[in-house]
Amino acid sequence: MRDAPDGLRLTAVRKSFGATEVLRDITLHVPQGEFHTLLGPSGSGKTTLLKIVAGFTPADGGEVALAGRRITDEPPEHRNIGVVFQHYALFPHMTVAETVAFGLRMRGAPKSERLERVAEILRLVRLTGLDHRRPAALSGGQQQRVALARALVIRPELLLLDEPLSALDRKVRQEVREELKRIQSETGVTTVMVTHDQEEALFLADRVLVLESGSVRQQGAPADIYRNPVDEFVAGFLGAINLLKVTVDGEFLRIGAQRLALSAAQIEAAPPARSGVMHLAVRPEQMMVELGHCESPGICVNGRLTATEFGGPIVTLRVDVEGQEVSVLALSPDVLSSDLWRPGALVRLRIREARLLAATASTK
Amino acid sequence: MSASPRRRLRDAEAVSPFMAAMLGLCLAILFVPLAIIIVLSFNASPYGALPFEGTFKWYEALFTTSDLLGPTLLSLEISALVALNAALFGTMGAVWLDRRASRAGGGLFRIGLLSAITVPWLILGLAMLLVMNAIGLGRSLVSIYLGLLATTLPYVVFIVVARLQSLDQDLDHAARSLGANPFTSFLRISAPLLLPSIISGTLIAFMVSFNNFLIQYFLAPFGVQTLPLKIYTLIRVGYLPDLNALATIIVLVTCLLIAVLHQLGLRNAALPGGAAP
Repeated sequence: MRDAPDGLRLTAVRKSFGATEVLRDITLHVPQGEFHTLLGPSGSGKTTLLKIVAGFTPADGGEVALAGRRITDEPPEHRNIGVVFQHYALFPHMTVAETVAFGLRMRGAPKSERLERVAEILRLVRLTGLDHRRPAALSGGQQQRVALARALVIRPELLLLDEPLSALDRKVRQEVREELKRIQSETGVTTVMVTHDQEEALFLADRVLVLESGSVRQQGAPADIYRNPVDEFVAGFLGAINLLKVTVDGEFLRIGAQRLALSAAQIEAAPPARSGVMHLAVRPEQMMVELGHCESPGICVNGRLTATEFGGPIVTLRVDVEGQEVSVLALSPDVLSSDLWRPGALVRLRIREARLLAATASTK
Repeated sequence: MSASPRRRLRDAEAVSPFMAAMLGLCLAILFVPLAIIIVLSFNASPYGALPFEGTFKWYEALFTTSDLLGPTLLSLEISALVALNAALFGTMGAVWLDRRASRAGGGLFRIGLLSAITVPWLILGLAMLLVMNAIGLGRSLVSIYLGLLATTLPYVVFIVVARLQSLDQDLDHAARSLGANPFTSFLRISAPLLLPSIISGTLIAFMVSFNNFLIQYFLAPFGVQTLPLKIYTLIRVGYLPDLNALATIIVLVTCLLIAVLHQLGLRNAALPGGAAP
């Protein structure tokens, strides 16, 4: 591996507010051109980390390097980092064109170059024709694009996005999300986004870092950490998941009185611990549900339907398995076609993929 | 039966006759004397005697033979200087208070400013005279300037700080990340957004300074008369209606200033970040 002086590197970054440790020894690397997401609940320290990278807040310790340059002690105006703020922070007294040109003006670019680059970037974010509007006269989605254009026009070495979609309503959010992905790949700018929305993180990022109470719990490609969470926190934070209390017994799991072969649930051969009570983590879409009881024990689990919740294309089925409630997703045509799917019906669950996690005290 | 609850409901919403009368009385106490002064300034009789006989001679006298003009100009000059300086130092103080001050330092500063408003100016004026005498300034124009500056500064600071607090701090962060140093960021981003508040503060500082009889009374050098001091002297020895003419002009100018303040308030309210005076 070559030691490329590229992208963003954080080394052992620490930060405390008073007695509260907000960030503990964060070390991470975002290679040139990649899109990374810091995902975490509020209070996980993700926004503080972003502010340290941007230079708005000093770190208590550690190093920040961008494109091989140590920027730990540089003021924000010397870092060449574009920032898109949660509430956009557009300048209320400037037009779109003036706002976008601000960074170029600060760099002393001549007028002709400013006009050309502003026009070019407004074309990229599809805002041509609104140059003379003020922020108050723009929709939320348009304001978001102006904020993005303002950050990108300076050709930053790093783009920071602070919850960029959270202030938009659902429909606009999806549009802007796709735009963001397109613009990032067209410009190839190294990007770090902070969000608490796992769907956003999974959709946009090349790599997701899950933060909790100031440290990185897990990082990896979206599909990878979604499928292989290291613990219950990560598992639950990335989406709905069932945590079934099970006892490991050799090649089998015991769920109440039932037995399930490890091989049948596609559980990796070496679970973290081979004895005692553990949690079988199964996502609702990783189970197939059929009417009737399991014909050959060991390959599926029996349960009783307690409720069906209609949700348009999919139906969420609540199944009682040995006193534990399990959620299973089914396609709605499969369930609606028959009136046998009633509360009380006997069903069998086949597990396509699951993981064994250590049972923590927080979830009984 | 059905009439009484309905009447009760109506009572809750309507202004009671008593309240209306009180309001009318208050407004009358405020405006009737003003109206009388305005009317008398156009009346020919020097003693306010009727019948009314229209004339502009008191206005003419005001600008030619009257000795009111000198004190008026002095008051205007002092107040303008004080207001502009209060605007400058007050804005600096507000920025420091909002962005840089420690909790303890900021609290002390606020208490100090508040005391300049709440401690009776009678006491403040007396205390200032003692201090000015002690440091060798005594009664002088410099003392008046310092005294008036101290009493007007809080108005600017509090008005500007209210607006600053409603400004998103990310605006400054955005400008910094785009390459602006702290000073440029303030000049290009914060200052234009603060301008309506700074102007409001300056106008209020001007009025407070112009009006401040007590501070001027204690600190003015003997023989130098600002307008309030001049009027005070005249009231005791009797005066001509040219004073009414001056009062009328001052009322008009004040109305104009209030209109400007109101407009600025509206402009401030229209900016994102909400209303501030």
